[in-house]
Amino acid sequence: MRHSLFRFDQPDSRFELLENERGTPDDPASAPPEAVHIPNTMPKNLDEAERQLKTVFRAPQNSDLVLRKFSIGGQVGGLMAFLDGMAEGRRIDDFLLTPALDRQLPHPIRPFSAEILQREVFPLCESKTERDFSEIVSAITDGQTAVFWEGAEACLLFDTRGYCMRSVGEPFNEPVVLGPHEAFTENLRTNLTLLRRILRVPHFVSELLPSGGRNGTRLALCYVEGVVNRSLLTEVKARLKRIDTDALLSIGAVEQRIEDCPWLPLPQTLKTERPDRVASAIADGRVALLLEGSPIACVLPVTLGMLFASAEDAAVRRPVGTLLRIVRGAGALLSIWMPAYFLALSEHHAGQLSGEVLSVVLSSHIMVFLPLPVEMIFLLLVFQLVREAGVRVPGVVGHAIGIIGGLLLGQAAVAAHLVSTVVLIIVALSGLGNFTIPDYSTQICVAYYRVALCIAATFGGFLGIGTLSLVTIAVLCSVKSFGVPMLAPFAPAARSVRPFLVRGRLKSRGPQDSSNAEGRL
Amino acid sequence: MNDRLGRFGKRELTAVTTLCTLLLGCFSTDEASQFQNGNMLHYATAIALLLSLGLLELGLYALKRAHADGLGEWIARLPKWIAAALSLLLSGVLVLSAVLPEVRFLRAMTDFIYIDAAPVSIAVYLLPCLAVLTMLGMETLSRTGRVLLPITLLAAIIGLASDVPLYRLYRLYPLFTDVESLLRQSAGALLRFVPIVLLLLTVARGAQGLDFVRSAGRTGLLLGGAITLLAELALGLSYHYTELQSLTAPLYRLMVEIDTDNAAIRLDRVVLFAWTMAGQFAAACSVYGASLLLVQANGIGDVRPIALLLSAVTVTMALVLREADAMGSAILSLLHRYGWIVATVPTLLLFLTARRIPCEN
Amino acid sequence: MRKLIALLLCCLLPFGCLSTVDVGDCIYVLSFGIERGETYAYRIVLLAALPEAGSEEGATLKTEVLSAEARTLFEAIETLNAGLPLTLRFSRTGLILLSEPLAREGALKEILDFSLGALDISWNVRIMVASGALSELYEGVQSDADPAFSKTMKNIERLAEQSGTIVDTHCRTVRESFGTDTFDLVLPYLCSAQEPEQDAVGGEVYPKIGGALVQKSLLETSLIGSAVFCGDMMCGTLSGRHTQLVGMVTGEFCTGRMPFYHPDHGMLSVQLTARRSPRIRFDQMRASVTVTLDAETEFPLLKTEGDEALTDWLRTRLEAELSETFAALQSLGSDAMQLGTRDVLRRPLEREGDWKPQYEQLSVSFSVNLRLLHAGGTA
Repeated sequence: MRHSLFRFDQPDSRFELLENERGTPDDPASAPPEAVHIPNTMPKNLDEAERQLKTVFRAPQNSDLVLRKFSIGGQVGGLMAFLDGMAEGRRIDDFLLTPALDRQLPHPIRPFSAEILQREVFPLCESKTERDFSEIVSAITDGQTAVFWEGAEACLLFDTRGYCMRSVGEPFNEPVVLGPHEAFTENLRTNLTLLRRILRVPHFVSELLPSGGRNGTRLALCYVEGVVNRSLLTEVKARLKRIDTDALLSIGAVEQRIEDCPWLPLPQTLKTERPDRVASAIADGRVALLLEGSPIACVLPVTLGMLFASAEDAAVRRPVGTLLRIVRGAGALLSIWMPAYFLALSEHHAGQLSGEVLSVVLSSHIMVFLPLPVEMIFLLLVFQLVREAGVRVPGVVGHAIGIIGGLLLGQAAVAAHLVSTVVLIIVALSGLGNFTIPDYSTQICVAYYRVALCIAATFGGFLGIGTLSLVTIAVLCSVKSFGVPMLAPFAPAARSVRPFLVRGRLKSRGPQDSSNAEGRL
Repeated sequence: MNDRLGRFGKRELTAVTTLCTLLLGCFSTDEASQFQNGNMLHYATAIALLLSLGLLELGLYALKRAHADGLGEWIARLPKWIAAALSLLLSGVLVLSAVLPEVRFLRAMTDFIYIDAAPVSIAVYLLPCLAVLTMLGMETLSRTGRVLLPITLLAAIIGLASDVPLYRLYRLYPLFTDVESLLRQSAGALLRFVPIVLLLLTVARGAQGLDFVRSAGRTGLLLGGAITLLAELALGLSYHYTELQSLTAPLYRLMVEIDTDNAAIRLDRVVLFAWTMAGQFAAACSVYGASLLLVQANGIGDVRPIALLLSAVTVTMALVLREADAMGSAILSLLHRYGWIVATVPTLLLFLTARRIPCEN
Repeated sequence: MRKLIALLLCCLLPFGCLSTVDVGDCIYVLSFGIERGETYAYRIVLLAALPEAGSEEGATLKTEVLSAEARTLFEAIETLNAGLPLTLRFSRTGLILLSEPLAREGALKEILDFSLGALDISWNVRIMVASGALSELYEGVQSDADPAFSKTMKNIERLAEQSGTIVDTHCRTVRESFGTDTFDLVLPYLCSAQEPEQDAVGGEVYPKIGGALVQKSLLETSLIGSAVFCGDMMCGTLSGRHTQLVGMVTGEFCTGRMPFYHPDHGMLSVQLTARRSPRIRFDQMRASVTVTLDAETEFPLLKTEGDEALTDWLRTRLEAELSETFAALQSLGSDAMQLGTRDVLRRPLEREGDWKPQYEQLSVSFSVNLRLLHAGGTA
């Protein structure tokens, strides 16, 4: 019933989701359903199997479940269960249903076992025998097809996954000039295949684990046996086991539940969409996590140097790679400290500014009504606003955001004396420096940290900057990523073929990396 | 027991020792008494450094003899009241070694940089810095030291090298006055370096072996001492001893007098604050050492509340000594004159008692 | 508990806010001048940088001369502050100008203590002595091409380095001269006088020597050489030439041009360069100073004259002028040649407080090692 402000003869009948005074919803239909328990044991016969499956999958309300009864080799009845859309119907028809119906087995076979079915009837290569009913349900939700038959104590699961997925494309967020142009997709199997194409060694292991989310997504733990540190592996598995949540939809959610300091803005794992970066890290003795439905892999443990390294560093010559790293590092430092340095100089230590710079600052700032610190912080936040808007706005309109933000806002703001030219240039340079940081999470962290530094510079000048910087360095030194200090191998000093600033030699077979690997690939 | 000691390597401990030696050496000098009869500060510093190295060797020998991993652990084995009194005394020495440079930093900030600011406004920035650093523990401090060391060394080189055109040899004269003054000044200079020895012995367990402590201590004291001597030489070449008597934190004064119009890069203030932050780090190490000693010697469960308390005490004492001009100067003068006795004598006696412990073959 | 401690520590920070004034709310004083006032004891004259709102191109920076009189320096500053819409800031002050009468009264130390202590003037400020009205002087050096006054200061340093006619004395040296009796101060001397003057040594000196400094304006300001001090009191002036000679003995002279009048060949312009530091030796109450120089001249008759004769003539002239300059300084009681700094090396322990009486009795002989270089060649 529509709500009407001026209908005085009718009560307010808008839908309310809140509880009533008794603490329960009014509508009995809205009472929570009884929890459905999924038994572990196999059903005794096909009818019971059908009944149990319908109960678990809430059929007939849930129209995705397909149950098909058929005859296997003319000798025994069978029941096929799969989810429409998750399983590929054509594959089921061609490799399960047709062979079962067409094949005429010569003499009655007793007992009718799974081995005989796999050998004589069903030609699909990937099949598994399963006795646990909850596992069968899990496999059906995964897109597999379960085949039951009369008198069976187990069920056959066939890999008939054929849901729609994105094809392997180029990485959107980590483009490179040289180097591979493949990126992960949302399909876990495809991602594992991409890794295995690079690490073609038998001891590259991808363990499939439950993610801990009740939505049943799978998690793959990838490492190289014999290279990875076993205590690291044990620790990661222990932390993954502790995850117990409703739905895990992205790898970021997994990351936040297993890292040492989730309250710290700086990430303690590396999230990347590039298979080559993940493979390189795994070969160094690190561990990668991949989640079904997430096109990002999570590599751990990491150091600060890894967060600043790009996939391209290994693809270029060593001097060039080192120069690129230095430029990147300088860009990051510029991004962090330049706005705060300028504020400290202007507000507290104007004697340090050279005469020419002071005259430029004074000239540009004279008509601006905002105080310099407010102006700087305002512009830094506007920059973030433009960045966020550019990410959210789709398609071709996104390009327009850059034009609007850069040209119109900037130019108009200066002309209207809202901001001064000098501050605008400093913020722009700082923003450019921020974009040189390859890792997105680190970029965001740095972008907001510089605002904190600006506030410290406003209140305390160089003393404020120095205090905050020292505390930050100390906190960074205390943070560990799965037992590895973030500033390794510089602080603490550790033997590493991956130096902090200089690009390491490719030919080097020197000491192990800071992941404390137990062996070499 | 949560002592936040952790584990750290030789290089980290060397960095910590170098920074502490440099900062406590440069910013804990009592100018009024040191420059009374000429400028023999560099000789006094060299002698005090050598004596401190000897004290370190003696302390390590004592720990080895007593099969103790650290100074606090050894003191804990003594009778309760002796342990409490001794740990309080030695912790007091460590806290004092943090207070002395803080007073100078406060004075230098208010005299040279923030002329209009009240000392309490400056102290409010020093307290969180000190508190956070000490509570994070020695493992973090050691890594922070490794990060700060190159920055501080660079700042020292830039600061001292920028003034080279203004150095004059005649300001160093008279080079030597009398032996009595030299001995008195050397004894006074011990107060700058003995706390570093105490710190090394207190955190010895985290260094994974007394041999590492020995080599890190030697390298750190010598390297830090060498740069301290360079800085003192630079001071001697810049100011006559009659002028040095009345200066507080003369290194600061040296930095602010850098001719910025000629400098290629205007880094003088950055250099100053690099020194200040390194000074906060050195003070944090001393306060942490004091906290750890108290905690280990008296069986307290967690070092962090003690660290927080001692940080607040340090900053408060520095503020009080800075604000109470005449009385503060008198107290400081007394501390400088007799503090070395309190620092050295109990330590020496403690180490010498190790000889009574039977040696196990 | 951790969060509570972190919150408490963060709450402390606003209490530590250090006072600040927005950069646009300040007037930056580029030079600070003090002289005797007409009505009150002191007049301060400031050269200040003021932003001026432009029309379309934006604001520009211009310099203005501000002045105020009061009984004390502090009152004078406050008088100015009260009358201006913006706050005076001295952190950019690169030059302190002291008028000659105040310098002769010995007010330099007191003014320096006040400037560095109370006004937040930087510790590397330059100090000069000025003759004449300071406001006229400032109007002479003002220029739209150099609103920050920085180019002018750089010119002064360049002039000191390239000609030696003025000294570039650091503030530290100035303060040192008050506390010890090791040497006496020599400061650059600035004037806007049009008529020639006489310096301490004698002979007329025209004021326009520092050509690079002169700014084109109605009242031309120039550097005439140096002001000589005895302790903290100014006792005389030296021309640019005599400043060069003093610099040769102190070791601050690097290179500079000196004119000489040769009886046979007319005016010689000789470029002198110090080849090594001067050597000073003491023997009881006698000192001998050896100055080593290279000389370059484009004297066209040199080839026929012969190098030796000219070298001897130049050397004799220089030695005579050095002796003359020393005698003049000795009569003023000023150890501007810093011979006391060498005396310290000789007898560091016994010389407490007795250098000045000894200096008055000291006899000094000067010898010049001169090497004559031709223009474009060597001897």
